[in-house]
Amino acid sequence: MSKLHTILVFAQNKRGVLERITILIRRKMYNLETITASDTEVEGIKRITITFTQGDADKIPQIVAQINKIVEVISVKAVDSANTVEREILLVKIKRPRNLSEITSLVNIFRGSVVDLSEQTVILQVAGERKKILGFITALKQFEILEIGSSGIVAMER
Amino acid sequence: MSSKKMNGASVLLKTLQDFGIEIMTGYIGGAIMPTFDELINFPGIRFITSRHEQGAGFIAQGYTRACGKLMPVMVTSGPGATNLVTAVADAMMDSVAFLAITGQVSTKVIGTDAFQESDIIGLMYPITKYAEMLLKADDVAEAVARSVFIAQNGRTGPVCIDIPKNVQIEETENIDAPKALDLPGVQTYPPIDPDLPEIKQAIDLIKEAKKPVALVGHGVILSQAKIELREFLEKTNIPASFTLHGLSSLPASHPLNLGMMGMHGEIEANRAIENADLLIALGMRFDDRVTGKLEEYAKNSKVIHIEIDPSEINKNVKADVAINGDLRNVLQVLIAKFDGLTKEATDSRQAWFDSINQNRELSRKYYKHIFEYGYGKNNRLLMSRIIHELSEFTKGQDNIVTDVGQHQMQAAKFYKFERFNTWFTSGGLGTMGFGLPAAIGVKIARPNEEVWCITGDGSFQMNIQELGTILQEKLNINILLLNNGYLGMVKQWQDMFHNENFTEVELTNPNFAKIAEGYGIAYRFVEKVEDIIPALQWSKQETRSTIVEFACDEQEIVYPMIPSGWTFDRMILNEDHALEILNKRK
Ligand SMILES: Cc1ncc(C[n+]2csc(CCOP(=O)(O)OP(=O)(O)O)c2C)c(N)n1
Ligand SMILES: [Mg+2]
Repeated sequence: MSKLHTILVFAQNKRGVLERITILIRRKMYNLETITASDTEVEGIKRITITFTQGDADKIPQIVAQINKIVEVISVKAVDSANTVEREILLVKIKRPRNLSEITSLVNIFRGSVVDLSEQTVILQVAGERKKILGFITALKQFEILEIGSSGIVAMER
Repeated sequence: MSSKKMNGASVLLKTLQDFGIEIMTGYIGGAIMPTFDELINFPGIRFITSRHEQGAGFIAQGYTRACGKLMPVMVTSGPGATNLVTAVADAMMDSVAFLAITGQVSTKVIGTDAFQESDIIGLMYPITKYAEMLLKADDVAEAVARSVFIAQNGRTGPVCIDIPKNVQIEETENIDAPKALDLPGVQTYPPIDPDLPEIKQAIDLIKEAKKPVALVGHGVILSQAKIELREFLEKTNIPASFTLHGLSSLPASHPLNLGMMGMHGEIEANRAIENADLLIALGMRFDDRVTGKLEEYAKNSKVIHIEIDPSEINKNVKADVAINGDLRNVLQVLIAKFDGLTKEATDSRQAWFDSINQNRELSRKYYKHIFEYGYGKNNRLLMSRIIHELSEFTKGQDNIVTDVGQHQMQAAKFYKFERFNTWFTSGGLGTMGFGLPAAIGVKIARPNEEVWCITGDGSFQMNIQELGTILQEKLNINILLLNNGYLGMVKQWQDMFHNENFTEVELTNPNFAKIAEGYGIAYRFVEKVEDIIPALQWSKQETRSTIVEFACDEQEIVYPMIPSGWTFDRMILNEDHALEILNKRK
């Protein structure tokens, strides 16, 4: 598993900010892994967490400087992972196994939950850091995975 | 808030006027008609109608580059706006303050692929500092104020306002822009702290440098650091080389002036950079045309980088000392703090200038045939000679606007600029078609000065329709058409790097005398060296615009040359050297 670089942006909630950021990422040929945007404690200000794959290490100061030039951006920095909490939510749909307890015990180990149960399928939810998410997916290999979706990473400095 | 009401179109024009806008350019069309309607109520704003929106964009650029003031460009939606895109991209690359005002279809039909609807904001985002669509007349005053501010502050550049037709018509009571704007991401530059550690570090490097060179870029012109640059160089006794856009920032006759650097730079400039122990980059961005092979560039030298845009620092070349700020201000601080070179540095200067002078001699030797003969292999005129004559004739005092190609490089090399900010060219984007409309803009900004548009047969025809704007505005511009019958610069590359495969570079050209006649422009044809000066004299005296067409040698090659991605030590010095290094000697 490759380590990710995380950039945390605070920006005014105006039309086009996210687009300008993604245009920049494409134009400069950075490898985007995840991007999330959400509200903050201050009205009108959005938190945008962007992660890049490891190959881009030397490009990080440049992308920070470039994002900083976007007019609506209030602050941007590359966060230090040792000093940051990073989490995402994973949803996995699997084919319903004969024995449900197999799956519930696995979900318990990862402190996740079964969020939907139908005749054919089960949807599981796990939240945590990327390592845990990837570990959970690996652990599910014995089941028939039908769909995977995740929220992308949200980062918060200590 | 005033209780007076105005429509969005009037508020837009009023706000521009409040910010000192005296002149606009552009082209009318359906979605912007309500704003054109209101022009009649703003007699303080002169409007120049171009013949193509790209032409308008370059007219505005010429004007702003020459006088520093904004000339908003107002065009219609769809094709009007897309035609403008190239000039906006060019302004972005060359950091020219620029305000595009594009009409848009009404908000009701946006997103329905309405007639002449295109996503201008989407097109403009990657090539502007800022772009926004206005959704309410209430927002117009503040938005215009915001755009004017962003275009002109920090590293200057283009901004776009997209204004739907109904917003232009809608009435509002918000007719005055707020005093304060909330723009967190716009970097402005208050004076730097003279006690910053970086200032001391820079001073220490400068004091000790034995073989320093200053790399002077567009930032010197944009920050109006004419006096400061000269004082800094003289006080520290450091020779200076110039990027394409740094030209004209120090008189060519100044003993510390080494001329242009980079791909077609002078031998003395490039060799100095190659051998330097300290490079002092002043408002430049280490473009690939300047560095050649990046991995080998500045390998043996320290680098001080002074730059207004923090994202340029360490982007291409790693700086040992970086100072982020307005160049003029930073130079003032450095001048004040500099208290002399170390003895070692002083002692080694003589050897440094000796080696520079040897390379100057070499240059002069290689250019001898230009100055003494002036014709190429086919016995037609050399562009370099024509520019040299122009330089002598005008004593380096006039405004030079160029297009893109060999004629541009020869103009950069052979015009000896003696006056600050008299050189106008498309550098970053290298847009053919820049010359003629930009010359119009320069002439409008400097009506009492002589403006020479140096163009090629290819480039001239990219915006030749702007001769109509000259006709309508009764402008007096001197057009020097350096006609070699080819897209010469591309042909040069084919010659050197594409096995002489001269594909699609030969042009069947029109009768330019007849074109001149059609537009009411005086015309002359020149094919002899001795006729150059008389033709220039004639052109200057004519009260109409003129075209002097020169029969140029299609075999002229611009030397020296550091081919794209090559290292400085492999600079191709002249034709003989080219045959050898490119293995073409038969
Ligand atoms: C709009 C545009 N299209 C293509 C080019 C590529 N290009 C660069 S120089 C050049 C030839 C220019 O020919 P001309 O204007 O006759 O100048 P010359 O080199 O012959 O002096 C071309 C095609 C360009 N720079 N701009
Ligand atoms: Mg040509």
